[in-house]
Amino acid sequence: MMVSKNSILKTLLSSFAVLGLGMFLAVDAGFRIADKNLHLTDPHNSPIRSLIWWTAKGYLAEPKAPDIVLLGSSLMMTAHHAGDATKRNEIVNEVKHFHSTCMEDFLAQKGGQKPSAFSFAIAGQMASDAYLIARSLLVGDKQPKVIVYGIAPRDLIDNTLPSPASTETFRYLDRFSDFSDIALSARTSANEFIQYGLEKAIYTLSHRPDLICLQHKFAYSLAPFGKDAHTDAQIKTPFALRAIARMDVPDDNGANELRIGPYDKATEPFRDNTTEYRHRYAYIKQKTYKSQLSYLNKLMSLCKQQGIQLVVVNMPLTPGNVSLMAPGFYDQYKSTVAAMARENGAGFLDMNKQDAFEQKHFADTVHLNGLGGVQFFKLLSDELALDRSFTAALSATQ
Amino acid sequence: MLFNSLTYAIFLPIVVALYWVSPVKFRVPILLIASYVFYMSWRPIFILLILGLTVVNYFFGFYISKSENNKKPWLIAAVATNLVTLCFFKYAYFLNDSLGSLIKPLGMAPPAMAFDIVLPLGISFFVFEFIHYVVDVYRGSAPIKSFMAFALFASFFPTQIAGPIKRFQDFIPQFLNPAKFSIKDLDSGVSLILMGLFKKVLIADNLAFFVQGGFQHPELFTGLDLWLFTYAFAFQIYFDFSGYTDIARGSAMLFGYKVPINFNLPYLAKNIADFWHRWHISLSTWLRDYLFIPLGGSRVSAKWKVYRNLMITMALGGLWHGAAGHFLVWGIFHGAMLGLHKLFKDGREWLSDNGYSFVSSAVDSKLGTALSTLFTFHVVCIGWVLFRADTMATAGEILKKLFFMDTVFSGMPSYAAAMNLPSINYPLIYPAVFLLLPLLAISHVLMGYIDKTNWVARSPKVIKAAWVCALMLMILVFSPDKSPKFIYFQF
Repeated sequence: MMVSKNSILKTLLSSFAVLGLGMFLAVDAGFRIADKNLHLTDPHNSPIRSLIWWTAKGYLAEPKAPDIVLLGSSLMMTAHHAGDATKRNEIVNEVKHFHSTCMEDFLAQKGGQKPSAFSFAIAGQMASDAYLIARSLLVGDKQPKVIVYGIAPRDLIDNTLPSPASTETFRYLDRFSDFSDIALSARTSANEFIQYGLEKAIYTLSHRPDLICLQHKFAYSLAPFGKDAHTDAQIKTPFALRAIARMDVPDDNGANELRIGPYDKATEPFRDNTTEYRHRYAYIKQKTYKSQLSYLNKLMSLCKQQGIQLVVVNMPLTPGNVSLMAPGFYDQYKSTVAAMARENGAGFLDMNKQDAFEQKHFADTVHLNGLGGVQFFKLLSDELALDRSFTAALSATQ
Repeated sequence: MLFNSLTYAIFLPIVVALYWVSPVKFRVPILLIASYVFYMSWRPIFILLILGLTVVNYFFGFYISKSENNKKPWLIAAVATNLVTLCFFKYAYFLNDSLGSLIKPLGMAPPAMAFDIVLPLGISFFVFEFIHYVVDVYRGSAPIKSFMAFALFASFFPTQIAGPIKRFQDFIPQFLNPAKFSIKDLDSGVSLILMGLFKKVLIADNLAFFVQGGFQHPELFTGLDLWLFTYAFAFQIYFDFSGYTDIARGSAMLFGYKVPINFNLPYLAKNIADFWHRWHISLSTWLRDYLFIPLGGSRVSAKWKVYRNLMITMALGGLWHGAAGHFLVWGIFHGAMLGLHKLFKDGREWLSDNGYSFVSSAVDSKLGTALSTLFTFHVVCIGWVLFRADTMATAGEILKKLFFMDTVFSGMPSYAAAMNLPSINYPLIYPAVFLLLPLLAISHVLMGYIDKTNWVARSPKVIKAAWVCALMLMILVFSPDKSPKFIYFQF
């Protein structure tokens, strides 16, 4: 027996679940229209106080574009924070301290005029993240003259990275940037594609973070306590509880939770993280490596296109760390990056100088300590001051 | 495959659609294949376990049924096969450790385990279903003839991992007379699934975050704080497990199958026996039918034997939840509370028989009922401390603070007894719990009213549709990015 279309429709319409789904789609469409016209949500806000959120907030608050922007992972980030804390001899709040005192002062000593140098270096930043930051935030009236990008093999081969789209930097920037050209290539698993498809179809789903921000605002307005969670107020949450919280939301950093003091030999013994890096280097995913190299290439092309002078800096590592890599890999990585830089008119500086950095400059096998941070920026400034492309870009008027 | 995962959100509609568009004769095979795919999505190798036990129990059922004089040996063999399998996977480490602590004073060490044992998902549930089957066949029920029906009974994916523990007498007739597609089942199924997700991802998962802080670091909190953590866990475990059951029942309903309820507003129980009539009903009735009654139940020659039977039943019920000492102690605690309740009940009857009926009247009055409900809730909460704490030492520390309110009664200044929670600035759940817990308590009472008045069924269609829409929005927006596993999955 043939069932008519009308009869199927009638049967389905008699379902309150189907009607509920219809209502949901209508509400979603209404939210889409209202938000587009009335700007109900602020995509720059975030329910997670991630490093990219703090740094982007800091960058957008800058009165004008800095002369230099530093990019890189924790290798550059710790060199910047630990180095500045040591140079300034004071405790530095890592989610509030963005200008590189070391770089500004050392370059001023070399060239006379003091440039402004803003650090966008963020722990865990991959080459894909660096490219996304450059194309989303370092544009228009916020375009710097120079980008100094500190890189090491681990920033291209992180074997725990599911895909470029899985980082907090991607997720955050994607909310107010148009990444449609890389939407598919940045995702790798079926789950990611389905999630992306659903987010495209359902406006409410893609605006979950905005709605969670509204929920937080509402809850804090009702809750008797915790109103100062987003401020610099003295946070009394016991460390043990924050540790639990960070297991669930590892990217969340409170306003005064990440602090670093001046280098103190007595309290900062060298931490041997050889085991971690042996594991990292043992299982290099070629697909990830190639994909990240292509993003590095995109960053270089973007800078060339925008007229930003890019200097790629090979970050210092301990000899022991380099020896953990497969024979020939490190040299191959360096020559690949250097060749890519040459092709795109970017500079390439190898700062992994065995004679300049000793074990006393390292906090562990890859991260520089305060002493190393100061040394790094001093040597980097010396090198940059001799680089004609760099000095020409810096002295150019925007 | 977790019920609260994107994979399940894709898997379920595909299986539902395939089921209903296929000819009737293909529907059960589709459901069976889907159930095995569901089970294999975790660790494919364990399909051999569930298949093996299905085949063995299917034949045991026939041997028990056909044997005239040798029913009992077959039953013993069947029950032993199931229990040995369960014990091997679930209790091998526990037994080894327990043996170790027993022989340690003699200077001996327990034998080292030669291999790692992984606990297969859902084993505690499907093994109990198999035991129920062979025992009921022994008691006279007809065995299931169709192997496919029997296989589906044991592996039915909506109830496979954490129940409800089904009875084959209820399930098989639904298989023999398959339901026709009905909009009513679709509606009920979808709203149950949404309600279950709401309970799980919105309430339980957010509370889980709060609860783990208190139970992992009781040393940071005062007695007052710990009461809040304990209340929070009471609601977390209820919403987690009843949320799971709702999703299971809703998923089954999408295929036209009805599975039993597991919860009936347990925190409105008037006494501890009433609590066990309302909490994890399919397990408590199983324990009654296949453990308490075979032990003699309450029809025994000596009164003490009733208490013994209660204690054994609840202690083993506690151990069923997990191979750890604190689960055993939790079971013993409930056994003791049930024993005390029986004493109280007998005392009341004696008083009534001897002219003191005002005691019963007072207990049964509105105020008496409210007070006994409140008291029962707190007894259950104390039990939850034993259940949730990772070790007995942690449970002891929490209970000590709960009962003695640490600083309040130790002569210290009263300000020292103030709660520590207010000073915790973030995460949000800490300050928000002061609003959340009273709301949950109110909602529990409200649900009683809604159920009693059949409010949902009587509501206009548009209200029900709006409810579905609101649930979808809330689940979509407020569920945590990482939803923890259901608590009862570990059992």
